[in-house]
Amino acid sequence: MSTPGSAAQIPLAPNGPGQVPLLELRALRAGYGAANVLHGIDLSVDPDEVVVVLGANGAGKTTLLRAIASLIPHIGDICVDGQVVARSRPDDMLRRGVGLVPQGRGTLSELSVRDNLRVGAVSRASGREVAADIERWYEVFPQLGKRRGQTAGTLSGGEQQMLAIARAMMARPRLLMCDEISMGLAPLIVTELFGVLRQLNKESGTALLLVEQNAELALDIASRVYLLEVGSIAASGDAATFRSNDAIRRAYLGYLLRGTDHGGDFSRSFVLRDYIRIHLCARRDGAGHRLSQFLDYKLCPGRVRVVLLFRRMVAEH
Amino acid sequence: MTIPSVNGEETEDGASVVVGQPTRATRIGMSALPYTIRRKSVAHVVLIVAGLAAGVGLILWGGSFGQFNQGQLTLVLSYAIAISGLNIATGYTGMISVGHSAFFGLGAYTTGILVVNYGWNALATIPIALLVCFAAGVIVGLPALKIRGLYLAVVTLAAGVTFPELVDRFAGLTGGSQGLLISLTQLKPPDWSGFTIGQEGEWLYWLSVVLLIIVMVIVHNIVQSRYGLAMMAVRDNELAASASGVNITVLKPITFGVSSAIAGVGGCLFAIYLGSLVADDSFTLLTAVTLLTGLVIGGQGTRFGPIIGGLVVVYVPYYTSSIGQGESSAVLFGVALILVIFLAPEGLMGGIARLASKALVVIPATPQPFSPAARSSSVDSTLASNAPPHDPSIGTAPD
Amino acid sequence: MLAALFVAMGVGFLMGVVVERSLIRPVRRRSENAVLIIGLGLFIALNGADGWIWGPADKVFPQLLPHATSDYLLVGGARLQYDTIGIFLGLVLVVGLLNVLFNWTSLGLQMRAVATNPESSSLSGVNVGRVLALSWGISAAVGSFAGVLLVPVLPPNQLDLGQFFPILIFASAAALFGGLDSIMGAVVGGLGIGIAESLLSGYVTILGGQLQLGVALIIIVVVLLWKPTGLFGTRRIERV
Repeated sequence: MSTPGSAAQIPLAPNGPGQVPLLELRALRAGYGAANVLHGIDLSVDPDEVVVVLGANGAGKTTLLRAIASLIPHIGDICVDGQVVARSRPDDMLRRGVGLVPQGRGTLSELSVRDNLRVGAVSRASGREVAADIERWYEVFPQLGKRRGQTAGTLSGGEQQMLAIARAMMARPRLLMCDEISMGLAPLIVTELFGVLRQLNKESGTALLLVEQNAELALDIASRVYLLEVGSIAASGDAATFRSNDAIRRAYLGYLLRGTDHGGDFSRSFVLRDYIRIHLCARRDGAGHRLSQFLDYKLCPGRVRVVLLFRRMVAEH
Repeated sequence: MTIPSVNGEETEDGASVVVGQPTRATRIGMSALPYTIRRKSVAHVVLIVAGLAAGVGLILWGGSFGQFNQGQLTLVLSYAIAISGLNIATGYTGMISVGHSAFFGLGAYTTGILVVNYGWNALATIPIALLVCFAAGVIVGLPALKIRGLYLAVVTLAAGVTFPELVDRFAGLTGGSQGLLISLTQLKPPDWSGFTIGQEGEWLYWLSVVLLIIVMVIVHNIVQSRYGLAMMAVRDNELAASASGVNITVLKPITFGVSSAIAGVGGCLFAIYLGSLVADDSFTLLTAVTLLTGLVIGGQGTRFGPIIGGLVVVYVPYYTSSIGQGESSAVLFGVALILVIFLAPEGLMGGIARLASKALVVIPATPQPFSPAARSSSVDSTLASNAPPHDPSIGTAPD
Repeated sequence: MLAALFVAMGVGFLMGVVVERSLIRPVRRRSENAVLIIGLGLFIALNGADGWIWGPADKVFPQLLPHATSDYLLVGGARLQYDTIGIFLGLVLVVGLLNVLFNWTSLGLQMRAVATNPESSSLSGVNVGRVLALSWGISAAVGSFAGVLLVPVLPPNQLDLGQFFPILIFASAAALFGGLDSIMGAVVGGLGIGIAESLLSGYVTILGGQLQLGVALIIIVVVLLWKPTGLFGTRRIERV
């Protein structure tokens, strides 16, 4: 196993010549109060791109999106269209073209489906265009069309996720960020949602920044992939490289993909993640040293047996 | 692997983005602030004795006042007891009550009625008032099981509003809007107290002091117990408390009952002090708001806050009555309430405590290690050899 | 006279916005109780300030509506005073305008969104701070309007410092009774209690004539036991 913190060496796919990235993060740090979650993230999304950020629970994926959307404060640079954005509000970021489908969907549960969509469009001026957009989303998601007058809180999880995507898109953002839209949904619905996202990207040129735990479907439509591990980018590269590199897959993705377009052996069984790592950062001890520890949990295939590998490290200040 | 250290930054809403590199505590010889005192050490005992001496000194000083000032102090003490009661429901359990004037008045009228109509000895009425107010409090507190937050405040509002009206309704018993007059002869100090007729004021002052001390000891014991912990858990997050096993069904009404009982005791003292009870003057909704104001300014959830509250509630209107055509005390109270919420949510007492803790802190006593030599069983030696290397910082979760 | 009314409402609006910005916004996140105490403090301070600035004695108040005892409409044996009808019309006007605001305007939609989920609304482009400030401003303006209408009607029919406390009580109780997120609830609640309380006090003799407020509030408590978030209020699902 590679030592903690070292990034696997993957050639970084170059950006298009002379293109200003739509979104660029430089040395981004963010957290909640005293708990530091992101330790210096460098990331970029070009217009028309689909970028996927993978990572386990606790890696900081949601924090990353919330920091970009200006829901939480950050240190470091967030640049939209090459210009650094000072600390602003979420509605401000939306005006710059960055929209977020939050974790948990963020449904306005007491409003109707139609009102949810109307709220999504508050930043737009033309009422007629908004109405046309609403109709178009009813066609893309017929379930929403059927329930346009229904209270949004009574919709199923999948329908609420559709509503969340539609609501975010009502503002016509240039970059749509999605926080774990596959969570808790049936595979069929997830496939449908990702199909809609791919269509969105291809037809209207909306860039996508997707954060996912479940890699398979996301990787299908991704152009570039970042791997977030305990608050830092552990690896990044273009999606094809990620998909085909066995070592990467085994080390980070934890399972082997089926399919004939991947060379090499592959197992038929579906194996859980090899291991997950928990990073505990304790305050200083009596001597003033800050202590941190990594707890590695190794999962054996078949039975869920957890073997605790315990390592403790002392950091000099 | 090193964790990169960064500079901390404060954002506009006060949330700290990143913790800076932890600095070592400044130790300049032995004169580092805050001074720390361990519990059960000599210094701690000295501190406690000094505090008690100061308290006794203040009480004796009050005992030397002239009749009017001593009467004012007695009033302060009876309000302090009532606010202490309110503190239990609102400060420690989070159930805001804008109706505690009802229990204050219930205690007062219980004493009044028993003394005037049935010739009871004033002192003997206090336990009865306690029970009556407890029962009333439990009844008013029952809706708290289903109703929460601001909606619960409406229930207490009902109590506070209904009380004066009930008094008027049963005018035959209570004297209605004419009021209930307790003659001085009925308030004669008992022989065993050492006071004679003509010394009612002094007798009442010392009675109030003793009752306040008893109330404070009771409150202290409740708060320090597991029950107190449950109360505060309910205040901070009721659902989590309930999920952790706190029996909300029992706790809320009983706590409200206890709170009302104590407020009722304050009312008894008030009745004896004033000698004349007119519900429309002394036990209205305005009184309830006054009690709440006193509690918030003095310090919710603190032990000495109610005393400060009592002082504020009695003396501020008295000393500002000539300013602003009599309305300045209202403005002061209103502004004080707002300032307290912003600057010192735990009231004046909390603010004082915070300032004091910059200079002096009492830390828990050193736990006594047990010596391995004292135990000789093989089990212990096995345990000792298998234990991971002792590190006090393991398992400490980051704040 | 009408101009003065509009000025009063304007002043009220401004005060509402200022209060929200400075006093409420920092404390909203903390707890309901904190906001309640600030509200109480504000009431006590402002009421006292009124007395301080203008003196505590009663003042004569101009009458907007005809108020003589002979100004009434005879309907089936009952006398409907003109001023009562006027107030009722005022109520209908305000409720109508508020309904239009909430259901037909963008601002109203944004207000409803913020009430449901402020973070989500912000992500959708709503300027949450501005919406909150405006809502407080509107609320205060409606309050001013109500004040101007009510003072001539409530005893002592003049401007008196003490009459505002009961108004606060009744208004809060009616709002909570109807459910804090329902205008209909406030209207129905307020009207319902007033009527029920008058009927009970009049016809049920044990209560006598003195228990009016008490009866009203006890009715509210009973209904709250049945519907803990108010008559038309939506049930809040809390997550631990």
